[in-house]
Amino acid sequence: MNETKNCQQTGERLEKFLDGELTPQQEQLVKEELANCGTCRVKYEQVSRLRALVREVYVEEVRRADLEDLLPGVLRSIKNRPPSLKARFADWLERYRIGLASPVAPIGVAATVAVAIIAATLIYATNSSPDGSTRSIAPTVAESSSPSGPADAVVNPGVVSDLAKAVAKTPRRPRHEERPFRKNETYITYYNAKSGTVVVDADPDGEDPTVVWHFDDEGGTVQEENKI
Amino acid sequence: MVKVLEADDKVLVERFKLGDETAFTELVLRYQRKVYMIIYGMISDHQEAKEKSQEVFLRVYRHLGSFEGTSSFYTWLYRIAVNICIDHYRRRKVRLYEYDDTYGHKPALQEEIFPVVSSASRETPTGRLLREELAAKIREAMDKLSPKHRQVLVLRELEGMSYQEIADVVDISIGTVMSRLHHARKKMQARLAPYLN
Repeated sequence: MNETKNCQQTGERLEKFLDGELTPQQEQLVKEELANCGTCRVKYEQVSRLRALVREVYVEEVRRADLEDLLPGVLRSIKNRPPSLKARFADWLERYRIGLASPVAPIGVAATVAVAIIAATLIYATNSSPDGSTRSIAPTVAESSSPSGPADAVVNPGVVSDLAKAVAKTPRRPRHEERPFRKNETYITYYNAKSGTVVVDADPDGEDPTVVWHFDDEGGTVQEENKI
Repeated sequence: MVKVLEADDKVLVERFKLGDETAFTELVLRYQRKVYMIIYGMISDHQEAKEKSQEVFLRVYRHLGSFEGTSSFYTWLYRIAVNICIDHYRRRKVRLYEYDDTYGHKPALQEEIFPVVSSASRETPTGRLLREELAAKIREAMDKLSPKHRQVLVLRELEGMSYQEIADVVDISIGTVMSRLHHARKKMQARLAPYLN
């Protein structure tokens, strides 16, 4: 069987013919060639047999595959999946919205506003020192300028809050300012947030003792020490 | 038929977007075997095909809300399946590279048993053995195809998709689809020549 020009053309069109991608006219030409040419028929049979075999193996295996647990698995994964940040935010907003509708909501809102105001005041107070030294609200290690030196103490959150308020109220004294203490006057002369050091100067004749705090990282009890 | 399915798909997608989770269940039940077919055709492993199919539907669940419908749902779905298979190949390539010594000593596919096809009950034991051997050879030949050739062959032969549909799913031109299909078939024919005559 000799391959003709028609055979070559049909060979090129065979795949499209089997895939159903030819125009009706082209299809007709291929059919005629297949009816008349043995070489083309062999090619056609090879290609179509390959398709049939591939389909037979894979389609049959998939038809027999047990997929009953596929959907439950998907639904389980969806249920166990942690919600996205967006979903959690939406949930929080929703709960907050519902919360605002409750009769006790004003108390919560008032508390939130109060905390925000206190925090803002403290931040402002600790950053407005004329000596320009670095400060933060909650002092950690405190060193007294008095001869007795630093003392150890450990805090609980309530004490931190009280101390922060006290620190905020205490005027800052320029580091090298020399003048007599006024009655009950106390100064923070140096504050270093990085090292956690607070240096306090206080009126030695004051009625209220100066309290120096040392905050232990480990936590624990509060210790007050009368430095003067 | 495809038009009807497409219309139904749209309705289901809309229902899901409105918060009806049962619409998602319906979509999974409708497409699970088709998705499984594509993935199994691409990786020839039942366990992995099941896991990957679940991954496909998880992605669908996650992103269906933002599915705009510029393509049909099933094109979008099959694209996800094909991409997951490509990811699988990339990871496997790394693994094969890492354990290069063991590559080539993979247990032969002949260990798997060829399914009992409709005519198998009439087969003699020898006939069945021949059929099992042939099935193993076919899977072996498929496994040797590159992922690009294999995906177009799977979409065409197993899913019966048109060139245009394949082009949409794989995001290539029709010309490339035809070229890849042609090369894939040539390779398969060369490897299975003794069984095709």
